[in-house]
Amino acid sequence: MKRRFLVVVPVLCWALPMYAPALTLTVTDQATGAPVAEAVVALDRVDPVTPVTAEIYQQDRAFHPKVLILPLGSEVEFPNRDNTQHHVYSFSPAKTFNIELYAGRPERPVRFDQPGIVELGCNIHDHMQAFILVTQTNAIGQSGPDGRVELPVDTATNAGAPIRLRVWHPRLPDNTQPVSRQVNATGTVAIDLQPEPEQETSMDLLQQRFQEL
Amino acid sequence: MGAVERLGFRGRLIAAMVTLVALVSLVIGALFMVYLFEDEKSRATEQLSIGERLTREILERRTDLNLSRLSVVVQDFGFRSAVASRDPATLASALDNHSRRAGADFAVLTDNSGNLLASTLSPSIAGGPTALFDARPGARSFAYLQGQGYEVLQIPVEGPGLRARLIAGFALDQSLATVIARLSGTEAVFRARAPGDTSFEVVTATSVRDRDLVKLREPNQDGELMDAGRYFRRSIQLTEPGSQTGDIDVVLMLSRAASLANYYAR
Repeated sequence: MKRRFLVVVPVLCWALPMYAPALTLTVTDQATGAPVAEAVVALDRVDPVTPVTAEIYQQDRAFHPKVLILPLGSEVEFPNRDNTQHHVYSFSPAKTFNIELYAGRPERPVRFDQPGIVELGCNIHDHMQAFILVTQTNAIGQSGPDGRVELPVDTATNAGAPIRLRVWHPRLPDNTQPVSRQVNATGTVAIDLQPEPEQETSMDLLQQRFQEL
Repeated sequence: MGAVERLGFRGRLIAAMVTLVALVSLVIGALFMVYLFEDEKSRATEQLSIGERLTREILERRTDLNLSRLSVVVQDFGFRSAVASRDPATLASALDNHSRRAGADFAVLTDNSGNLLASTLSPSIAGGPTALFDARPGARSFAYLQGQGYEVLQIPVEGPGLRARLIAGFALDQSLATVIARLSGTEAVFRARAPGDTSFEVVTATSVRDRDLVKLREPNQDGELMDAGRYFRRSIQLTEPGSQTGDIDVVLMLSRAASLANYYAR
């Protein structure tokens, strides 16, 4: 029993890096060096992925969530929880679709069968915006408030070799496609970002207050 | 000599005094003429300065109005759908229709990398000077194309998943020259020359005689006041010198006859 334990423990120790989230990266802003939250980082590789069914709903004239990562072939429902109608559409080459003015739940979900960035909008509410990232890899994650992201990747197999990444953020100068980066086992990924959009003005807040009354 | 002696002292004194009076009158007349001309020149300079500021203001307002029209066009769902379709016939048709809505005299649509998608310009110049397509979004430039001067504006066409650029040209035409002339109280002439040319061509002008327009073919410095016969004039450069899209300026001309008429009216 003791000998078996001595064999199993080293094997487990060798095997652990293969399945644990081994690649830890920090995404930073190239201009300021500050950590960047909500950046999507993926390995530049193709994996077998399992499609899912997801939902992006509209409430308070906004999409929720604003960024959705989906495996290729997944379907998305767009329920409308507002008291106004919405016209959800996208011109993105990865998926061009158009759900004309509707309330409640559209008849059928939209299937995303091409990898890429799909930007959503509402034709009667210009400020509404959301993104669907249709991916073909399982090694994908989103950075937290500290800019850190962990990817389930085997760094032991190709130890020392640079890892090719695809990085995307809504504030990229061209957010219709991810940017490519190369890193080693750990490190920092710097991306060029546009400034934050202006916050709501006091007039908007006042209007919001009137709506609440 | 005999005639002078016959005059006597009184006669000579009178002759000397008459000569003196004539000389003084001539000097006074000459000084008055110089003063009159300098005053005329300074009034003309002042009016041309006001005209210059007014012209720049009119052009700025016109740019704002045209950009506002274009921003309505590029936000139209039908137009954005047509651009997203990437179908050449649909693109060309929608571009022609929607550029008319904005009152544009020509329109060019490119993708975000500057590749031409559609154009209402003739195929020979559809590629156009590269500077035409390199302008910053929202920035104004001027171009001389096929014998006509244009104000060229660029505006992004953006929608969910759609990125393109619309470049629209608005002719520097007679109606614009007339507005400038009416408000500034001067004649207004738009001149242009193709890159590499030395002499200008008159693109459009208000009521300036043809023989005076010929004189406008020669270049002059911006803001220069010239006593060109019948007119004081000032040139306002609209393009950077040596621009790839040609040199365009507007010349404000103040008739000297009209300027002197103020004195007669007093």
